[in-house]
Amino acid sequence: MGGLMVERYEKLGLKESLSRAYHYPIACEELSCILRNAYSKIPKNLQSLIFQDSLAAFRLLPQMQTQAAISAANGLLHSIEAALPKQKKVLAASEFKQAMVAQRRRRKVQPMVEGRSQLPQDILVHIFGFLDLTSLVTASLVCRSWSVAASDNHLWQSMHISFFGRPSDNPNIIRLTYGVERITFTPGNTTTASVDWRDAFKRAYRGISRKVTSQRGFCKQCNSIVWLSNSKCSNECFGKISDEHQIMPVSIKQIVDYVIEESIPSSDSDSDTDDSVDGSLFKLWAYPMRFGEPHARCGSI
Amino acid sequence: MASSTTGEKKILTLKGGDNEEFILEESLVLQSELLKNMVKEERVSSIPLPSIKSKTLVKIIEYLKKHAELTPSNKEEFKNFEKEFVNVVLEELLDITVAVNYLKINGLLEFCCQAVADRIKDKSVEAVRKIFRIESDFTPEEESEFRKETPEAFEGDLDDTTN
Repeated sequence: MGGLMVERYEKLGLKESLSRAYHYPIACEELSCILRNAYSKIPKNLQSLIFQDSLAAFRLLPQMQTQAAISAANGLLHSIEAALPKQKKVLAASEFKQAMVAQRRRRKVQPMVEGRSQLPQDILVHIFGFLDLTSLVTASLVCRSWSVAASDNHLWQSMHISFFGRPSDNPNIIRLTYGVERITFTPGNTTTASVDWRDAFKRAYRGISRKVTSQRGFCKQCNSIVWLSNSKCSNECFGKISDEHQIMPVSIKQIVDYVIEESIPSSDSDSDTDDSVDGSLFKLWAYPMRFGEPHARCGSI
Repeated sequence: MASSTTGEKKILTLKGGDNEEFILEESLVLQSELLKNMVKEERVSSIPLPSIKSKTLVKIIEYLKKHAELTPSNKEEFKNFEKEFVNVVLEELLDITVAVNYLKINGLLEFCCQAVADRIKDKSVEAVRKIFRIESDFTPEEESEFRKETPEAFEGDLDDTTN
């Protein structure tokens, strides 16, 4: 039972994710959430594993030169202080302090490696959600990190919808969408990802390509939580997003439940109500609710 | 540690990155999902926010206060305030946006992101790089391919970098 929990936790691959700058903040947030919600319920060996990973997160902090990384590490420290016994708290706090000192020193040695504006990916995607087509294309050509953010599948899905309407509104698009889907469902044709909205948009409009998205999803095929890369299961098991929902976007809460109870995230479990109870949840699929109401989102809380 | 109370209003201290302290009513910070959780779960009376500069925190608190006073009758005034709020140098706006994202103040985040997007809109790639002080990290081959594929993105006035 405890062994399985450890196994599921290890499947999350947090340790490896921490070393990647673009996954670091999310990995920290997941660790945080597990600490807060589940630390007291899990077996000793998993507790110590999670503690070690938290320390590792702090040790890696100096390499991360982004504000998001510092924020995430700071959040992790808060969770550690809330959940762990005193001795471990002290150890973690001193590790964090050292990391911050090293981080600052490193920043002084190599000031502004990539200019002043190394914005975290999640914020970039959010910002790009307000751009028109031309500006979005421009943004994607600025630098690599912007290019990745500007390729976010949801951005292009909403771009597609705003240009061509929802599939049912426009006979042309029905054809296009069906075309894409038919390819996806054809057995044997495993090279085509499900709907790549940027690509679909490009076909419908003729633009440019280059696609990456990275978030968390649950892959039914390999029964684990994976990073979504390029809308495919990162374990390379051929599971594809929205291909019969092989990979489902999951919230952090669902990740915690998965580790503790092996509860398999289901698409109809209403995570919205959970979110309002525990606002610390990070909405992994934060953008789809905007579709069709592009003007309703400014200025109100 | 219990929250200290004066009268009926709970008071909370926020500590910015440069150790400057800000004392404000707890009800104000509830607009931030992050702080709301900290206050609710841990009953703290002082929250250190080392990653946020005091200057940024001042701005955010200013917004929280204004937003708390928002009523149907002063909507216009609030709109003007918002406009002025994001009318700052880009660096400051980005600091605010990152901090607001961290604090999870949703309405303000939308507004800040819109403001940043406005500074990208209708500019050439070079102009955006200059404004955001970003060096291209594409290879020369990639760069020339972009220029061939989407020449219009590279056209435009380079001097259009006011902000």
